[in-house]
Amino acid sequence: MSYLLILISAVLINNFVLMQFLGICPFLGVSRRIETALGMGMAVIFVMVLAGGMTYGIQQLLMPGYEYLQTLAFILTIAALVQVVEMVMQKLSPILYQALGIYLPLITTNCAVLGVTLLNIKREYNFVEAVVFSGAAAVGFTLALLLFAGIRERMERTGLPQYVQGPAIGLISAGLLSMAFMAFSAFRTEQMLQDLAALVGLG
Amino acid sequence: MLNVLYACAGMGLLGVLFGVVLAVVSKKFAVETDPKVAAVTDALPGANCGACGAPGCAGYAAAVAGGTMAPDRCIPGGNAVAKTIAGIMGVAVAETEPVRAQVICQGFDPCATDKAAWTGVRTCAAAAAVGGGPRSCRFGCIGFGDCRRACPFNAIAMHGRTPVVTDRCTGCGMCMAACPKGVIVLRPKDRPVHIRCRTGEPAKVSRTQCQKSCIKCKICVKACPQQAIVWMSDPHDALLLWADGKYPSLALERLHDLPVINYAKCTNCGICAQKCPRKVIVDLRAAAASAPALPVAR
Repeated sequence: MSYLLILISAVLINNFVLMQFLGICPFLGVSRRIETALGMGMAVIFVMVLAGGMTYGIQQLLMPGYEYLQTLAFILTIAALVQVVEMVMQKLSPILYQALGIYLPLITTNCAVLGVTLLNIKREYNFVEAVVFSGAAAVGFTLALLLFAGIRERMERTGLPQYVQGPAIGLISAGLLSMAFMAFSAFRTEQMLQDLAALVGLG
Repeated sequence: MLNVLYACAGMGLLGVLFGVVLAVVSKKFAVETDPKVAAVTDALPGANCGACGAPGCAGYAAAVAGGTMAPDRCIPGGNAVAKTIAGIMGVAVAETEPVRAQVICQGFDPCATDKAAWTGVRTCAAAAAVGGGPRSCRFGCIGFGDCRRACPFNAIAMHGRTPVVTDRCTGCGMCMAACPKGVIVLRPKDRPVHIRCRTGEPAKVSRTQCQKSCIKCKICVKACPQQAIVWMSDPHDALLLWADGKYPSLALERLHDLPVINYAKCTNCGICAQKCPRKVIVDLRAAAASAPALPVAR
């Protein structure tokens, strides 16, 4: 049950983008097309899960007594992982690589990734919980990105007045989406969460 | 002390570990790129101004190397860059006369005045949307500096509400696209004589709006010994001049009932500037000799 709780909490109730406002940069940057949003989401899932697992190991092996090195070591890990992802993606999917552009290396500075690794330690998760939480946070990020990309794709086909086109309407709809997700805060207790899990067929 | 050493050693170890992994992966997933793309990118100015039509210099380099775009499309780079790129690609390019931006309006204080005070957002686009803007002449420069903000090369200075194009101008035309009044255009570089009015009002009206407005007297057309001044009476004239190749922007300028210099014929004699009764035509050589006083910032 606790894994399920972590999952639902990270994806819906404490969604990284829409509730904790982490990773806003790629959320606004690569949400023009659903395909690129999906590609970005997959890259972030990959980086986040690996980063979550690896930083957990680094924390347990190297960190006792050296907590002040946490940020440095974690960022180093994330940067190296992103480099790997970048090289692999350039080889395997040049089109996606082109579409993601600058936002791919910018996963390095995606605060959602660093945030998830630091939260893993702060919440004293064990290894499996840490990996599940990292994955769930990344899935939540992808979900937000996909929803937003869908909205923006539709918006592009409507005749918007010039003064709200582009970033203006993007920020407004991001705000509305965030407000919509606040409804999930209603599921505050474990009982409510179980009800929700039963509702979506996971319980 | 030992703690510091451990910290350094630990981080170093981590760095070396990741370095090795990255080296292996980069070998394994190496992508062969066209060396021409890198060579063309190096030859470009790198301002990412977009004047060529491609999204940034890297995009243009890829298009040139792929053969989908011509090598002489980089306007800021001019002939020098076009030649370098053509050399890389092994093709020939023709020389083109370099261009630069010219403000074709002199309706700054005190020649023209504000008919109303503008208290809104200080951009030309916003001001132009309300009743054609606050200036007495609705064809003239508003002077809130949209051109300066649009310039990727910082080539436009605002002296109060007077835009001044400096020698840093590369002729990319971003200012032209930003100006809601169309009073900033591209003209051949190093030419001293320019016509600086684009009013569409008849003489009776334009005379009251601005001291340096065209009153459609056509003296310049008659005075020119080379017949180089064309009276634009229908859009077809613009197309003819544009086909001469001396006016990269003329088709976009929408000039009507106004004189235009055909620089293919112009010999820079400056007679038109002397004859113009409204001082609409300026001779920059004469202007430099008498050291023009720029209006002070208000």
